[in-house]
Parts: sequence; C-alpha cells; structure tokens
Amino acid sequence: MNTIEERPQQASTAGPPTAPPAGRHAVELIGLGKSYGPETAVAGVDLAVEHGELIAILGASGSGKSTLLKMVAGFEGPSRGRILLHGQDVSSLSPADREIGMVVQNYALFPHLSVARNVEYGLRMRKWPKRERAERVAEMLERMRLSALGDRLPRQLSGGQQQRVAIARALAYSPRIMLMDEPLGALDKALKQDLVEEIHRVHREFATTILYVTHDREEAMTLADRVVLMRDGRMAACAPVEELYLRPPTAYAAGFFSGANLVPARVVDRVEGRARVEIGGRTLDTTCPVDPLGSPVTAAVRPVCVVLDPPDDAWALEGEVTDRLFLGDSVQLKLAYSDADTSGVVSCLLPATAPGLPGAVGEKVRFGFTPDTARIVPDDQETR
Amino acid sequence: MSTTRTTLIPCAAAVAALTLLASACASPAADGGGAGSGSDGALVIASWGGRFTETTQKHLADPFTEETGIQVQIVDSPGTFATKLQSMSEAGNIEWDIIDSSGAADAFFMAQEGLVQDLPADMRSSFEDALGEGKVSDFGFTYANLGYVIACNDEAVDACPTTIPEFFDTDAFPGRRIMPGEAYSQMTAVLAQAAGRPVDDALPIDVPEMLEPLRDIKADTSVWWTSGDQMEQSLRQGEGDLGIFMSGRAYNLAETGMDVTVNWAGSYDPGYTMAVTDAPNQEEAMQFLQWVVDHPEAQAAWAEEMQYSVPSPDALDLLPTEVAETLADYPANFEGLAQQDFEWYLENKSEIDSGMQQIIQGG
Amino acid sequence: MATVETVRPAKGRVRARPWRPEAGPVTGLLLAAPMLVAIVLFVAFPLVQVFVDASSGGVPVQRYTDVFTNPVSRRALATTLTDSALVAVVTVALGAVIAWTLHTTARRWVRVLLWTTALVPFWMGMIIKNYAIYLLLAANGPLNALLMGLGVVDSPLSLLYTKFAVVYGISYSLLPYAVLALYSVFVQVDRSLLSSAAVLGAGRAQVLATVVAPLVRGGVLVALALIFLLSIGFYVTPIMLGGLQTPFMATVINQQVFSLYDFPGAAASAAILLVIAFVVVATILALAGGKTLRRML
Repeated sequence: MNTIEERPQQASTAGPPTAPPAGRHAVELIGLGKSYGPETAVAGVDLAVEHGELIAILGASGSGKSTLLKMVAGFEGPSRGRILLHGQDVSSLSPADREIGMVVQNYALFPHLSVARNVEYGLRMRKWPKRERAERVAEMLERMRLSALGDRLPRQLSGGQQQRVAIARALAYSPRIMLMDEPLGALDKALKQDLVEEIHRVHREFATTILYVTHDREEAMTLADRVVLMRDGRMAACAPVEELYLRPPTAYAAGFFSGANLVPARVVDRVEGRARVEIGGRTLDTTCPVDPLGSPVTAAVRPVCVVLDPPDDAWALEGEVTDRLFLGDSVQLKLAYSDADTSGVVSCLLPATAPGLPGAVGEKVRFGFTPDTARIVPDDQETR
Repeated sequence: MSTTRTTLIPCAAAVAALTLLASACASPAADGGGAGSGSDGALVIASWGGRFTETTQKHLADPFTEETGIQVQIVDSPGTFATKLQSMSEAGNIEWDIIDSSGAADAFFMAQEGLVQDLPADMRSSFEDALGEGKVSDFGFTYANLGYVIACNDEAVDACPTTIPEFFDTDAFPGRRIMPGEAYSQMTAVLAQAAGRPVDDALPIDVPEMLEPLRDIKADTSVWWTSGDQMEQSLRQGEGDLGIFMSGRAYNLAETGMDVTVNWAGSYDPGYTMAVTDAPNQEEAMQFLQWVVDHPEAQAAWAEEMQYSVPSPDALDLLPTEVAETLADYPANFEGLAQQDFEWYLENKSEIDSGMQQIIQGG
Repeated sequence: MATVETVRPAKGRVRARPWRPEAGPVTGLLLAAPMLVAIVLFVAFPLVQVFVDASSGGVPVQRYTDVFTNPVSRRALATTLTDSALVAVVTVALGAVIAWTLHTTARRWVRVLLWTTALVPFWMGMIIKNYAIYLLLAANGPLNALLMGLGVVDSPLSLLYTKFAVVYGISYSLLPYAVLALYSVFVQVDRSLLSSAAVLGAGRAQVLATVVAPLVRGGVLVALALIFLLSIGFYVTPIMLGGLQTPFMATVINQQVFSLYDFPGAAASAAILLVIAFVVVATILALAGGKTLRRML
C-alpha cells in the first residue's frame, strides 16, 4: 500500500478527471533533456504551458521536437529534467497512466474495431460503466460530426474522417493534455485546410491543452497560440505566434518561421534610436535599436516587404530575375544582386497584378526594401 | 526483328515443356527396350552405400576389373533392394546386374518373385565345393554374414547372459534391454530359443508360441533399434544395459574402448550376393560371382575391413585369429547361432511380421 | 500532306497491345508450362496414384478400415495427430514470442541474436539436428548430468524414446517456419497502434489482448495449420528420438513398403493421412476466415 501512495501520481481509473487544479500549469517541462550515448537529442528544455493553450512545437527534422513529444507521452524516459502535468510529476509514469490523448500522423486507428469502438477504447480501458461509455461515444461522434459513421471500419473512411475519429478517440476520456504529432502530415492540401479548421474548433470548444508537433510553419502559424521553435535539440525561440512572425528574435527564427530574407548589412547611422543600415551600397531604415556603428549585421526582410521600382533611388538596388514562380494571386521572384562588396539573392512575393512585374527569368529589375520593415537579427545562422 | 523475338520466348518454353514431358514419359520404355545394353556395358552392382560400397569397390570390384577388363559401377540402395528391383521389374527397366549382400529374407523373397536368377547347376555345385554346403542357395552365395548376438555393457550389468534363455530371464539377469525393432526374420530364431527350442533345431515353430517371449521382454526393453548407429549409441549413451546386437556393431563398441562382452548366442544372419533376372550384363554378372568365389584372399581383405563374415573357409584361415574370432562363420561362433528358416518365414511372413510389429509398436 | 508522309515510325519494339507489367496470357502460360508439366507429373499424378493403389485388388474398403483397426497403424495415427498438434502449439507459441520480439524490439543485437537463433535449425541437416538432440537427451547426456548435478533427480531420466523427445525434436526443426510465418503476419501490425493503445490507457497485456490478438488471429491459425501439416509428415525425428515406441505414420508406411511389402496398405495409410491433413487444414482455414487469406495473398 505504501509504495502505491508513494508514487508521484496515481492514475485515475474511472470517470472523467476532475477540472484542472487552478493556478498550476497544464504542462511544465523543467530542464528536460534526452541523450542517446554521446548524442544529445534534446538539451534542457524549460517550458510552461497554460491550461487551454495550443503550443506548436516547430522544427526541422532532427531538431528534437519528436523526442520531446515522446518524452511527454512516456515513450522515452528523460535523461534529465522533469515533466509535470497539472502540477504532478509524471516523469516515471507509463504512458497508460499519464492521462494524455494522442493523435499521430497515420491516425493509428484500430483496424479491427468500428469507429464507435475505437472512440470507446480509452473509456473501456478506464473501466467506465457500459451506459456511460455509450453516452460518451455518442456525444463524441456527434461533436466530431461522425455520428453517421459509427459502425464503419476505419479503412472505409477518408483520411480526414479517420483523423477526426482519432481526435474523438483521444478526447473521449477528457485527457489532461492532447499531443498531436504531425496530425496533418498525411493529408493533401485541401483536406489539410479542413482539418486545420476542425482542430481549431476542437481546441476552442473542448478547451483542451494541446502540444502540436509539426515541421510546417503555416500549420503552426494558423493554429498555435505560442510557437516553440526547436533547433538542434534546443529551444531556439518561444513566443506568441504573431510576435515570433513579425519580430523574430534570431536569424534562424526569421528564416525558418517568418521566411524572411537574411541580408548582410552594416550599421551606418541611427534615426530616432533605430539603426540605419547599408545594403549593397544603399541605405535602409530598420525597426531595431542601434548596434555599434559600422558593425556588420544581418537584416531580415520578409518577401512581401520587397518592392519593385522604388520611387527613391537612394535605396534602389539593381538585380536580375533568376527564378519566377506563379502562385495564383501572387508571384514569387528570386532576385540576384551584386555590388562592389556584397552580393546575394533575395526572395520576394508580389501581387500577380503588380505593375512592372518581370515576365521572365533574366530580366533586369530595380528593387528595394520597404522602409521600417527590416529587422536586425542576431546572427545565429551556421556559417555556410 | 522485334516481333520474332517476342514469339521466340514462348516457343522455347513450349519446346522445353515438351522435352520434359517426353523425357519423363519415354525414358522407361526407351531403356527397357534396349535389352542387354546396360550403362555403357559396365557391370552394375547394387550395394549398401558408404563404407560398404567403398570396401566392395576396393577389394572386389577393382581387382575384378583389373583381371577381366570389365568395368564396374556400384549404385547405392541401402535396405531397398527388393522394393527397387520390384518396381524396375514392373517398369520393364532392369538397371542392376548384381545385388551385393542382400538381407537373407529379402533375398529369398526376391528369389520367390523371380527377381533374381538361379545359378546354373554346374556353377552351384562348384560354389558348394569351394564354400561349403550351407553357404550356397539356389540363387547365390552368402556374403557379409553376421550374428545377432548378446552384447552387454559390463559396467551396467553384473553378469552377461551366455544363452538366449538366460537373456530372456530378466530376474536372473536384470537390466534394460536393447532389442532389434524391425529385424523380424532374424528375431524368429532368437525367440524360438527363448521359447525353449534347441539351438540346432530352433525353427520352424508355432508363431503365437514364438511371440510369447517377445511380449514378456517388452517391459524390460528401453530401446527397439532400427539402425546400426542407434544400437551402438543406445549402449554407449546408457539408454540400455544389454541387448541383441549385430555382431560387427558389438565389436565396434569394444574397439572404441567400452567394456563390452559379446556372447555368441542368437541367430545366424547371412547376406546373399546374387545375379538379377534379365540383367543387362548377364555373362559379366556370372563372371563376377565366379570371381568372388575363386578369390578367398579378396574375401578375407573385405571381411577384415568390414567386420562382416564371408563364406569361404579359406578366407577365414587367411585372416588373423583375433579377426576371425569376431566373425559369424568362425566355427566356434557359428555353433552358438540358430539358423533362420527363410522358406518358413516367407510363408508366414505377414503373421510373423505383424505379430511382432503389434507387440513392439502396438502400445 | 507532305509533312505527314515524311513522318517515319520511331525505332524500337513494336507492340500491338498497350504495355503491361505482366506477360500476356499466351506467353505466361507457355513460360509456366514446364512447371505445370512437372506439377502434373510429380505432384498430381502421384497423389492420384496413392488412391488408385490403395483401391487396387482385394477389398479396397477394408484396406482403409484396416488403418483404423490394426493396433499398430491406429496407434501410429493417433500419435502422429496428437504429437503434431502439440508440436503446432509449442512451435507457434515459441515462434510467436520470437517473431513478436523481432518486430517490436529497438535493439539491433536482440534482433540479430533472435534471427540467428530462429534460423540456425534451417542451416543444419536433419540428421545432425536430431543427432545433437539425441546426445543432449541421452541417459549419459548433458541434460541428465545437469539434472543429477543439481540434485533434481537421483538416476538419469529416460528422455529419449518418449513423446517429449519427439515433440522437442520436431518443434526445433519447425521453429524457423513458425518464426517466418508469424513474422510476416506480425510486421503488418503497425507499431503505432501499440503506442496508441498504451496512451489510451491499455497495459501491456491489454494491448496484446485487445489489439494484437484480434489482428494476428488469422495468421496464427494459418501458422498452426502449416506447422501441423509439416509435422505429420516427419519421419527421421520420430524414428531417431521416439524409436519404435512412439512411431509416426511415416514410420509405419515405411515399414509397410520396405519390410512388409504391402504397397496397397501403405497407399491406404498415406491416403488416410492425406485426407485427415486436408480436413484439418480446411477447418483451420475456415476458422481463420477468407479475410485473412485475402490479406495474405
């Protein structure tokens, strides 16, 4: 008996969990790290997630985001640090006892069970009485708009429907938190958009805390309250989504999340406390405070902030179109420029109807950056 | 060009299929028709394989070829002479000329079925002159003879039975028995002695009476051997303490350092070398039989290597005594062994065989 | 018009029909012809011949009833069927543990070790394998030495020439078949289903019972049928390790042919074994259900 009481946290065995204890974080990761031999997959992540928050964990493959999720789910034991769910340490609990819901890329629906039985599975494992199970399943199917499909087998459903079933199954027993591991990775673009809206709705209606792992910055952008940007096992940034997008704290964040052009520049002046930089012999006002004058910096400029034929020659660069992609409403150009001491390629996104849009690769263009949109970002890019 | 190539492949396949079909169907008829034309005129001897074939090759076939210029080919067909020969005969495609040391019961069966041919009268009497009367039958002469004898692991038993009735007396001679499992004919002469018959007049006997001792000994039998290896291993690995053994195998054990007593009580088990009816090389086959009879030194060399006995008294004289003593035809040994009655056995074969089989395997 | 005339067909193989990955029906049939001929000659014909032989001469029906009334063949038939059923259960159980571990383990060395263990019986000759087991189980063998050394038994156990020895020997020989058959079924069980079930609250046993078992049930039944079928045909192992005390049908059929020269009787024994095997397999496959078979095809 003693040993059971000494366990850091007991799994609830019946009935839906009670409301989250007030004042505690839904998820708290404290110095969480994972090493495989000499290789560090995740290095000391600290993160606190509020109840009802949707946190996107964004990163390229190998950035440690999946390992992080596996540790929270309980499939990998942390090498160091702790995991707290609703204020209780679950670091050494088995996945079954963590009271979490999980949705994965390939849905992982039980192929031999009907949709309803799939949704019921977690309730059965928690030994809910039969009637309550039936009621709950009916409710979940209804809320996930699956009522008509309850008797179908998973393979008779479309990918989008299957993912809705997976979500219903994970939410049925009101888990403390929901983990989503690239849930839209296997869907085509149109379905993806539907599911993004669905997850958005679910998050709002069920008020569930969600950790959402993805490599797709647009998914993260649309869904997340906050974005955790992972890089090389470290948390490269953690900020509300809009702030991270508009004011990326580092060059990596600017490049990976905002998709910004990273342009080598030099601080030449200050205007009202903000730096004026020189790029390719032209000057540009940035939104950032000053660096020491004369120092080389990296300026981040998002593609939409590049303009053709700027009215002011003072910040116009000469370039050549090296690539042109028609995207419907907009056109993406790659512009190469070179100067006495600098050269580079910038990407720019222009309305398809923009006047003077170059028609073909090889055309010469004059272009510039919209003032007050460039940011100076700490140069954390790897040297190339 | 390209269209011809695509039709070429199916054509080739069809030809291949037809060839296979044709060869599979036609081969028995083709070979069977060309009587007397064995495989390139070589004398074909069916033998037991392994060391047996090697020894026959070295001491009989090779010197025979050297003297006569007749090529010999030995094929292995251990334990399946009668069945193979029967199916060859049914297919009208006899491939063998000589059968090397067939089991006696099988030999009499083959003779009864007309699968092996009788010796010409003059040949038979000359063989008898050379080998002795008991060593020649209508169809051939004995070869690779052995005894079914008593062998004991001296470390496991206090005293080794010297007679068959003693062997079957499990109170006086306790110990787990190792018994022949499928040597039905050889067992008749052993069981008859156990049932009280004298050594020199064991058979024929009433079958149910003969089976009684077998039924009695079953409870004390731990191994029913079906192969020579198994009988050796059984004594060596301690699966049994004493048994009825093939004599050569019993001496094998003694040679490998085990304390084994061999008592020459049991049954005499001859093999028969004979010529096949409608053999492709009839003349050469008879020449071979004659050659073996005429060469006691070849027989002696063969016997020394195989530890099976050979018919020629001269051959036994040529052997060192310590070797001759281990052979079934050595007079002192021969006296202790009861003779089988093959005609009686074949007449009652199904009753005897299934009677023994039911006791041994019937549970 | 002039341009049309100047268009020449490109060089290359001319095809009358659109290209498909498989060969056309005629080519396919002809290419398969040698094999079809071989199957008819060496499989279909002997099978039919077994029944023809069993029914030739004498009273055919009695020959079949003899198989059941003769104490030797009746006992051998019972031994063959019960021992093979035991072998099937033992081998599939062991094979399942190995195959499942192979499928789920993340450790490379475990996989290498298990594959090696599972496939070693494949690389050994039948005689070598049985001889090794014979020596292992012998009264003077290492197993008895160990048992006596540990004081478990006072005198050597008679392990040879028992049902145990036969089941042990055949199971060892057939283990690779079970592992391969089951592995091919188990790999179809997506590992993410297992982790999903775990997150949903299932313990290890519950995962096996509620997710794995229903998914592999058909495959396991097919593996049981396969092992059973292979086992009832065994000859060397029952005779080497079981002796004449626990003969299989193969031993008896062999005796019928080579000792008793009773060819029709041997054919009747073989025919009955064949029919029983067919019935058992048909039953198991019916239990496994068409779905499983379709999935395996």
